[in-house]
Amino acid sequence: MTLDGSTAAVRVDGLSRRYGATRALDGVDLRLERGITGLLGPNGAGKTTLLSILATVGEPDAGRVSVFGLDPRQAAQRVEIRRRLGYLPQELGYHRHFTVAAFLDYVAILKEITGRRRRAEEVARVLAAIGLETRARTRIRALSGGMRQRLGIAQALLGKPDLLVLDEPTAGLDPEQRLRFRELLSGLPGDPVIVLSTHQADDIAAICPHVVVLLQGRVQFTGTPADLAATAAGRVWAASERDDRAHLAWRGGDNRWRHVGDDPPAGADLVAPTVEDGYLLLSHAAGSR
Amino acid sequence: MTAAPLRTVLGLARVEAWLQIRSLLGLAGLLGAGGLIWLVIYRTVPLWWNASWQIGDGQLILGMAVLIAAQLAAGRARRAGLADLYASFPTTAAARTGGQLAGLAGALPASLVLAGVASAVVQARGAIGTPDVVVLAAGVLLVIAAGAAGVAIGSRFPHPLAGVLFALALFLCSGAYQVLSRAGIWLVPWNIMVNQLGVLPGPLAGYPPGGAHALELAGFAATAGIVALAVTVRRARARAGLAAAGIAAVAVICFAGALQLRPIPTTAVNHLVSEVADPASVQRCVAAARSGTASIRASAASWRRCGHRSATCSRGCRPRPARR
Repeated sequence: MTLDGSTAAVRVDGLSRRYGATRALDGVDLRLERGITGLLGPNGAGKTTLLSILATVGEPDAGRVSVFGLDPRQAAQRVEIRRRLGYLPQELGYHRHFTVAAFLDYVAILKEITGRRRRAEEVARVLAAIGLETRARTRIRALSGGMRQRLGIAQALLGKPDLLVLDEPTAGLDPEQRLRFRELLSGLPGDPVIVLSTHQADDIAAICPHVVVLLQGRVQFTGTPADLAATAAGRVWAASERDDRAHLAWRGGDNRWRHVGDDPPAGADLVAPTVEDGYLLLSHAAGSR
Repeated sequence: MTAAPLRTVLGLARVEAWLQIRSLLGLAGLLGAGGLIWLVIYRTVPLWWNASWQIGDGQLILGMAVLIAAQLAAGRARRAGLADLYASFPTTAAARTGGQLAGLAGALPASLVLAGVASAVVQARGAIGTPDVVVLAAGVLLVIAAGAAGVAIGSRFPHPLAGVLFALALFLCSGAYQVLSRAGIWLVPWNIMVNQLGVLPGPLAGYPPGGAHALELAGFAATAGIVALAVTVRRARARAGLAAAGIAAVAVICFAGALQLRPIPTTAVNHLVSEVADPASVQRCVAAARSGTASIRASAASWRRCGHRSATCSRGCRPRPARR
């Protein structure tokens, strides 16, 4: 991510979007480069709205978006962006009576992969990538929730997109599948621009070189996960007793209370902050404004 | 349309056609239509100048099934919660609709099988006269028109019941014409004529006009397809083109409807009157080899079936049994 945006693959300037009286996005500015950017924020922060606009599905009320120098407001350029896009919406339905391979084949046609041989190769590639190759002939209605989520990721990977927009891709995945997903994203060829929203701060810390925190429709933080964790430096303690002055406190696996807040509990030890701590403090600060 | 979208449309059409071919609804429609045609023709020796239309009427049942299947296919993405995902693809909604319309080719095999098998059965039962290929082809057009209507409905109304309701409406429009107003009859003029054909001693040349009937159904199919595309097309120029094509299609329907509502020429009526007044002048004898019912079959040896347009009856014709 760059501050001046001179080399940014995706530029977002002054983006605003309202749903009735609710302001989902309020003057969002972003610059995204190639690599993985994690989008953190609570429910209703505007993540899904932002991602749908990046995916050319939603339209902003105000502001501009540029993807690889293309303007999605222009019909021809919008189609060109879509040719380079892989999108996983937050709530994805499926043609339940299709088989896994038939669904991916259908999506591949919609992505203008029209050659039969190339389509078959592409379907086989993404099935192998998400570990569903043995389920190719299984009807979607027979898949578990986690498998369907992987199928959703697979369809986004079809056509080796330059821009991957993934809205909560790890929701519903078990720990092993989450690790496989991290491996998959880290190993994607061509160094695409990847934007993923998640509630899993450890996913962000593990695979995202860049992180954006969106709170109440505004960008509250951009930087590296380490930078985000550093915002909580000196404000995270471990103590044997709970202190009610903390913004948030929970008992850890070592049976000690981890406190995130401004005031140290009595007899507490300062501990190294995590991305989650930084996010919690940002969220608390935004909520108290 | 550039090459990439055209290939996409063809690719989608291939998938949709295959789904249509494998559709259980289509199979049910085929069986239902076959059953209906059999119910209509099995009691009596069929007359081709009526049977061609009856086979076309049977295609209506298949058309209803195809309409429902096409509506389900067209509304599939929205029903499954895939609208946002589909909107992110380079393939436009109009191209998807185009693929679904082209995919109606998948309904052709069932329709052709129905027409072919029904014709073979009618012929095997010793039908009098010759089949009207144009009328039989119109039955196939009816199925395609119903499918195009299904795509149009599904593009706007994805709920699965929408197709069922419209299919019932189609059935009522076409079947219960007696309760329709004159305007309604104008939309389905062939219905009035068809039920009169069975009492005619022979075909009336050019009546009902099968070509106009087929033209009207083609107009309906085109109009439905244009409506389906108009729901999804966004570009102003494309919309203008569709509007022009829609006007042309409606004009074709009007023209074909007017052709079918033309009165029978006086010469043809006079000829008909003379045939009714003196059946022997147009009857010919054919040895009755088959009969649809056991009671008639029992006396088949002494029966001679009478057709039309033959010179004399040397073996003493008896009038053919009254139909229905």
